[in-house]
Amino acid sequence: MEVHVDHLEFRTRGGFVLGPVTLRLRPGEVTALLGPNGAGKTTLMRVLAGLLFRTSGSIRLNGRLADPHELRRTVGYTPTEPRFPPRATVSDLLQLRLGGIEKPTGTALTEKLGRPLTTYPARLSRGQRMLVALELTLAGDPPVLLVDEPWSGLDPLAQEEVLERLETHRQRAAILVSSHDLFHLPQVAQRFIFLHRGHVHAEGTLGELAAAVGASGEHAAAVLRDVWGRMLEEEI
Amino acid sequence: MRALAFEARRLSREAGFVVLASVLHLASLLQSILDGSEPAGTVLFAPLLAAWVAAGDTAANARGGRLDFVVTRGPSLAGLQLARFLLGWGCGTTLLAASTLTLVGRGQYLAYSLEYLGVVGYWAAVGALLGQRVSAAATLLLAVTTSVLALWWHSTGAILLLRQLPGEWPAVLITGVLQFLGCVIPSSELSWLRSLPRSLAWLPWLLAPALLGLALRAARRRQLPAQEEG
Repeated sequence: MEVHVDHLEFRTRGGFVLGPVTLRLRPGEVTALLGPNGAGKTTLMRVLAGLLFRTSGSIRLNGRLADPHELRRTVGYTPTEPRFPPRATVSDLLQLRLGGIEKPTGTALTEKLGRPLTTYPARLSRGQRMLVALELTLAGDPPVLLVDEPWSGLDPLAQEEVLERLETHRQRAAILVSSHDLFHLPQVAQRFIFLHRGHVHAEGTLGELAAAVGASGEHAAAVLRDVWGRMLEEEI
Repeated sequence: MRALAFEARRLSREAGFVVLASVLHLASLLQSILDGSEPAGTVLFAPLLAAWVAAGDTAANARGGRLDFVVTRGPSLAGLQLARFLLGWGCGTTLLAASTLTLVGRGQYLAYSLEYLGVVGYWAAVGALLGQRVSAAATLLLAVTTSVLALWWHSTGAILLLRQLPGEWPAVLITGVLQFLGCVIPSSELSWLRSLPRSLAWLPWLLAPALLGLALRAARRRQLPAQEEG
């Protein structure tokens, strides 16, 4: 499913302004969202997930205008700090999304998580919660997937697992991943969006970005760091 | 249905609720069996139980980002609130049934039960509305406080402050507001309100859907900001 975001704006009473942001998420492609703390990455993701309501602009799913309620129904979202309602097990949350769990699905998920479906995710460590959250988000095969800071706080093996899961799911969805991790992002993303103070400052493939900053493009992390540095300097 | 099953499972794991609801239901049954001439006194707790269950932990969960996983690719927030309302009304109704078990088939049973059922539904709707902003405990406290205030007004307040009986004009205005918006005891249960028109006893049946509509509308309009924006 293609996501078309056009002149999206979100304002809070406290004066925070996101946008106008225009971007496109394509199916079969992972787009990376980068930017310093407070750039508006999480806010943008929550608006795209329908959890926050845009002030102006439009979000289209396959060309059709989507309201926040449709976005909530369609878009899979894994937040930075996954939190779960108390006294809800993994199984409860799965049933809530899928309506019922067929045995193979349950067995596969139990194997992936390495724990029974009767586990209370609210009681797990942050890293474990992130893995459970990602599996829960992917369980319904969402056509659009938003993942906020998936590698933060995870051990190296878990980080690899996240990479693998995103790569596998890429074939079936348009994916937006927000992160500060310049090592993992180029391994999974095809396009990069730099957000700063609520605005898109640079956008493109690694090659396009490398050309823009005059870098060779051999070292992905170095290119991204250059673009990041340029973006901050321009602001100064 | 999924939201209802989800919330029911979560509620069934809340130890405090399970113990309290079990004690209340058992006490109601016992009292009904021992003295079947009138409803068990525990029936007074039915609206409070309904309000507490309907309010649930929605406010804290929404503020703490714990609903992100529930409402994305899952039921709507309004669906969850409707589920809490139904659970609240259901719990209150079973307590009402346990308290009036031995009265089935008697003359006034149907009217009495229907009136109480309306009050239970009204308080469940109050819980569904307030529960989006405040905790279940705060909702319960409000219900108890306004009920005590209403009873004080009916018994003492109107005479003390206005030198009128609660059913006399204009004291009856305050009486009506306190009784039908704030009191968990049906008006027909209070002897000093028997002068009020009998049809007013059905007011909670009108107020409950109106309040539930407001609660669902508020849930539909509710945004879910993150704890920390990045």
